[in-house]
Amino acid sequence: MSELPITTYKSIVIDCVGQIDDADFENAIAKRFRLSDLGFDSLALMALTTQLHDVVGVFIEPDDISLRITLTDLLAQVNGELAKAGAT
Amino acid sequence: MSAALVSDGVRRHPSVISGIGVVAPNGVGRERFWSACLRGEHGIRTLDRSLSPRYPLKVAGLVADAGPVPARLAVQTDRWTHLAFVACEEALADAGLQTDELDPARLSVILATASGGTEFGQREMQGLYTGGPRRVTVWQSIAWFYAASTGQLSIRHGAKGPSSAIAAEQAGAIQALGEARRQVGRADLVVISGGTDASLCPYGQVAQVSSGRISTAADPLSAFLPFDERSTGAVPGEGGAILVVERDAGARDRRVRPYATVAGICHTYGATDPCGRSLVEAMRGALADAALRPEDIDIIFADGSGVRNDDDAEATALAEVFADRIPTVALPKALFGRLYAGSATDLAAAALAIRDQQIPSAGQQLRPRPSTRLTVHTGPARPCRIEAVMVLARGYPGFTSVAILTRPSEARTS
Repeated sequence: MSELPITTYKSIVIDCVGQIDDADFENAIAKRFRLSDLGFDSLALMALTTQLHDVVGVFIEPDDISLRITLTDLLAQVNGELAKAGAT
Repeated sequence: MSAALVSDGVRRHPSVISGIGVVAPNGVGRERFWSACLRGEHGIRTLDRSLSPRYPLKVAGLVADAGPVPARLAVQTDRWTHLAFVACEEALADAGLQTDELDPARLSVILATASGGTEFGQREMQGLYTGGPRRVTVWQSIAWFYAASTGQLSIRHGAKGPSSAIAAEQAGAIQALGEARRQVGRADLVVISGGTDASLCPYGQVAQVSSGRISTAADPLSAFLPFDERSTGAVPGEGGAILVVERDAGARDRRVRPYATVAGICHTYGATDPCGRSLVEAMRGALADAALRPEDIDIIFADGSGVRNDDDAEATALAEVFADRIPTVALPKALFGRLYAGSATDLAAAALAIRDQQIPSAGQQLRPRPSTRLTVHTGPARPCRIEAVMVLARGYPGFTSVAILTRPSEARTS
């Protein structure tokens, strides 16, 4: 996988914080919502990083990001790691 | 709790039930539940046996649709906690409480539970055994254990007062009510009390069936017949009730008329008690605590386990305390099963009986054995003067609790 598909990203996020409809998810990306805006707490963050590792193969230490990170920036970070892995 | 142990605070500041929320198999929502109890409507239904084909339980009290739970909370909590969320919202609204306007230190959550999050726990264990440790979600750490509902409600409503979870099977909600009353007497707290349970998944069934006390009958209408010659055991159910408990003065300050005063409570324990001695002691202790005589009690909400020996012991205990004047027995749980934290629904029904001055039905199928000498009200609801109600609960393997609720001055009306 060279880039995390947005639909997969959405399904991972939903697994961690419950139902989000398409419009809300697009809105959350477009408006640079933070994880805390979507109801993430420390356990949800741990669930998110675990799922990203399982599904995409990218492990991000929960301690290295905070609930203040936006969905957009997290996606960029994951895709950056995927690109690095693809380059090596 | 013996009468002598009741603090001065409890005496000086009577606790009342000022809000009720119910999620029960025969009705979601306080008034739907109560209306079903008055009409004798059943909530016991046939289980989907495809989920647990090898287990003997065939019917149970099932909550069809409890209503919405916030999505973020739904993924990280068990069904038992979902039911608590729903009932709690209703109870707080009923009590006219906006929890964000309360001092967090004045709000407590004291709930009963018998099983914890068995459905969630089962799913996680299945994940562990089929997919390995990484299939276990982080939510398992907070969803299954007994204090999960207490914790979730306290987080959701910002409660930072003394909070706890009580595991005493069927007697749990009366024990929770006793602890709520103690805290309300000690300090001017508002307590979210009561309890819910939802343990009908295969894992939950295993725990219940192993007691040997569960009915394996297949007919939903006749599977649970406490005190009846045809009784085959207890039918479990899911659901429960949340009660808002506070000082009488606190409720009235908000112009909320309470349903009932918590007048007396007593707990005893008797794991091997075929003659009902622990129940006799608990009834007498609760009467002493309430400063009432047996003849002051207008209705009894019986424990009615459906297990013949226990039902006989309960009838014997009632005869010892009330002699030949045993009050009419209300047994709405015959309509929806034993809910484990289920004395909460009995407490809710008792408070609503005081409000409406009506005895709920136990369903027309029930015919108590003459040897029990009990008059169980099985017809449609009937009006009755109700000033004091005694609620009995016995939790396996020996928890015994009795509560007495009385009609407050200027009581709530429907």
